[in-house]
Amino acid sequence: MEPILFAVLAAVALVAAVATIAWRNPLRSAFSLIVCLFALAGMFVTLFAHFLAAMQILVYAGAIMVLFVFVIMLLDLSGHGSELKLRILPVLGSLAVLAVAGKFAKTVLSTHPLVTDVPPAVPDSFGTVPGVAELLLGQFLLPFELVSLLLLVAVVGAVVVARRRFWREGK
Amino acid sequence: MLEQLIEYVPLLVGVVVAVGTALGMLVLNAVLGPKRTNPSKHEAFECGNPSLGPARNRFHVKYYLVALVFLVFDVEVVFLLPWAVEYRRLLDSPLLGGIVLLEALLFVAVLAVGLLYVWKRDALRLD
Amino acid sequence: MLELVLIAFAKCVFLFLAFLLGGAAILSWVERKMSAVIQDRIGPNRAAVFGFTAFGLFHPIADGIKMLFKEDFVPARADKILFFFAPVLSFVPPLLAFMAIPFGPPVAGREWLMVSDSQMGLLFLLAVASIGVYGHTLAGWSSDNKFSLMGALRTSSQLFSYEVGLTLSLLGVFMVYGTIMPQAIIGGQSELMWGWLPRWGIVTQPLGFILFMLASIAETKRAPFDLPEADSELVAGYSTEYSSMRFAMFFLSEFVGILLVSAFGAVLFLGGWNIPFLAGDAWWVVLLQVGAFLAKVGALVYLQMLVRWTVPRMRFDQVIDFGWKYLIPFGLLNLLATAVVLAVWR
Repeated sequence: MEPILFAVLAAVALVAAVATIAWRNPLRSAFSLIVCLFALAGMFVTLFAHFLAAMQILVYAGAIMVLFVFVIMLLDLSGHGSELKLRILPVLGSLAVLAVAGKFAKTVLSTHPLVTDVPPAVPDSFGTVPGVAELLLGQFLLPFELVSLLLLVAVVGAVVVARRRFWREGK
Repeated sequence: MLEQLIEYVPLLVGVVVAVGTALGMLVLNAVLGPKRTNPSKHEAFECGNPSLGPARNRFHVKYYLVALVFLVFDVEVVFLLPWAVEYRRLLDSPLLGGIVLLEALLFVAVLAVGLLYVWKRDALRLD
Repeated sequence: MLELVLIAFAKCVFLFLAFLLGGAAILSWVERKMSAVIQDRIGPNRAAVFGFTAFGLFHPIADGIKMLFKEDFVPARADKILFFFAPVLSFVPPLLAFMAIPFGPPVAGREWLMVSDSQMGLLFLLAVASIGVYGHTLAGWSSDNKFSLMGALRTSSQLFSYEVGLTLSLLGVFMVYGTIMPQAIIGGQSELMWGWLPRWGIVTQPLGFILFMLASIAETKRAPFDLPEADSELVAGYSTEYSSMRFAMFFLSEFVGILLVSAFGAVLFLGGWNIPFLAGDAWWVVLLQVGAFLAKVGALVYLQMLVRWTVPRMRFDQVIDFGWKYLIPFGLLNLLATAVVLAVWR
C-alpha cells in the first residue's frame, strides 16, 4: 500500500513539475507548481511528518505561490512572456539536469539492496511539531537564529529594491 | 504504520464531497438557467460608461512590496510555531529549560528590527 | 474501510450541505434583518407562501431558487478557465477547514462529532484557509474588469497584511495549552483555575482574543475592513462580472467564512463545547455541550454582525497600516508576554 501511495504521489509531482516548465502561459506554470507542492505535502503525510505537510501547504501554496500568482497577474506578462530566447540555455539546462541526476543515481545505487526492511534512519517524531521544535531549538539553534538574520536581510533588500523605483519617480 | 494513514481518509472524502457540491451547483445552474446573449452584455461592466481598454495593466510596485514583506513574516511565524507549541515542555527539559525563552527573544528581536525598518521607511504606505 | 468512508461521507454531507450552506442561507437573512433593525427599517418581508411570510425567512430560499434559474454568463474578454474555477476555489477551502472543528466531545470513545481527527489538528485548518486567497484574486483577474481587478488587488493585499497577525494571535493559545489538537485545547480549557475560574482562552489570552477577532473580521473581508468589495467604490469588487450560481458561491463562501472564524474562535477562546462545572458522558450532557458550542458560535457571529452594521468603512491605506503597525507588533508582544508569564509562573 505504501509503495503504491508513494508511486501515485511521485507521479503527480513529476507530471506537475514537467508541466510547470512546459507551459507557455506563466499562470498555468504557477498552477502546475502548486499541484506539485500539494503532491509533496501528501508525501510528507505518508511519512507522518504532519507539521512539514501543513507547512508545505501554508508556506509554499499559501504564501510563496500566492506571491508568484500575484506578480504574474500584476506584471501583465501577456505578450512579453516568451521574448527571452537564448540558444545556450537548453544546453546549460540539460547539463545541469544530467549532473543532478547523476548525483541522485549515485546515492540511490549506493544504498544496496534497493528495497530493504531496514527501519528508517529518522526517529518517529520526524517532521512533527515536537520533533521539529527539539531540532530547531537544540541541535540547530545557530541556524535557527541565523534564519532570522536572513529574513531581516530579505525584508531590507525587498524594500531597497522596490524603493529605488520611488526615488526615480522623484517621490 | 498504515493504520495511522487511515485518519486521512475522511479528509479525502471531504475534498470529494466539497468539490462535488460546488460542481453540482454549477452544473444544475447551467442546465436550468436561460441562455440569452447580446453584444453589450459581453462588455466589461463599468457603471454604464463605455469600457476604456482592457483592465489588465501594470500596477504600482508597492502592492508587490506588501506581498514580499508578508512572505518574510509568514516564514517567521512558521518558525515560531513549533517553539510556541512545545514551549511549556521545553521549559521543563534539563538541557534547554533555561534558554528557550532567550532563543525566541533573540529571533523575534532581529525580525522586530525588520518590521521597524519597514515602518520607518514607510514602505507599506498604500495611499 | 468502507464503513469509514461511508461515515465520513455522511458527516461531510450533513456538515457541508445542511449545516454550512443552510447556516449561510439563514445568516444572509439574519444579516438583512439585523441591518434593517439597526437602520430602523422593516427588512425582508415580501416572500410569502400562502400569504404566510415567517418574518421573511422564505427570502433565502427564494434567493437560492432565483440564483439557480439565472443565466450562467461568461464575459467575452474573461479568461474562461480561471473564470470558471475561481468561485470553486473560494467556495471549497472554508468548507474543508470546518472538518477539523469538533462540535462536541468524543462519544463512546470515538470522534463522532468531528469529521477529520488527524494528527495535523488545527494546522490543517490554517493550511486550508491560507489557500482561500486564490479564489478571490483569480476571480478579479480573470474577469478583465477594472473594478474586479482593483478588488482582487485589495483582497490579496489585505489578506497578506492580516494573516500574520491572525496566526500570531493563535500562537499564544497554542503556547498556553501546549498542543495543536482541537480536542486537547478544549480539554485544557475545561480545567478550572483556583477552583472556580474556567481556564478558557479568553481568560488566559484576553489580548489574543481581541487580536484574533480583529484579524478574522479582516480575513472575512467585512466592514470596517470590506474594502475588497466596497460597494460604493468598486460595485462588487472581485465578483462584479459574476452572475447566477457563481456569484452565489462567493456570497455563500463569505458567510461560511464568518461561521468558520466564529467556530475557530469558539474552539480556541471560548472553551469549545465545554460548559464549566458540567462534565460526564450522559447523552443529555453531550447534547447540552453541542448546544453550548453552537451558542458560542452564534454569539461570535452576532458580534461580527453588530460590528459590520455599526462601524464605518476605513480607508484602504488605514486598513493595511492597521495590520502591520498594530496587529503584528501587539501579536508579538502578546506572545512574548505569555512566554514570560509561563516561565515565571511555573
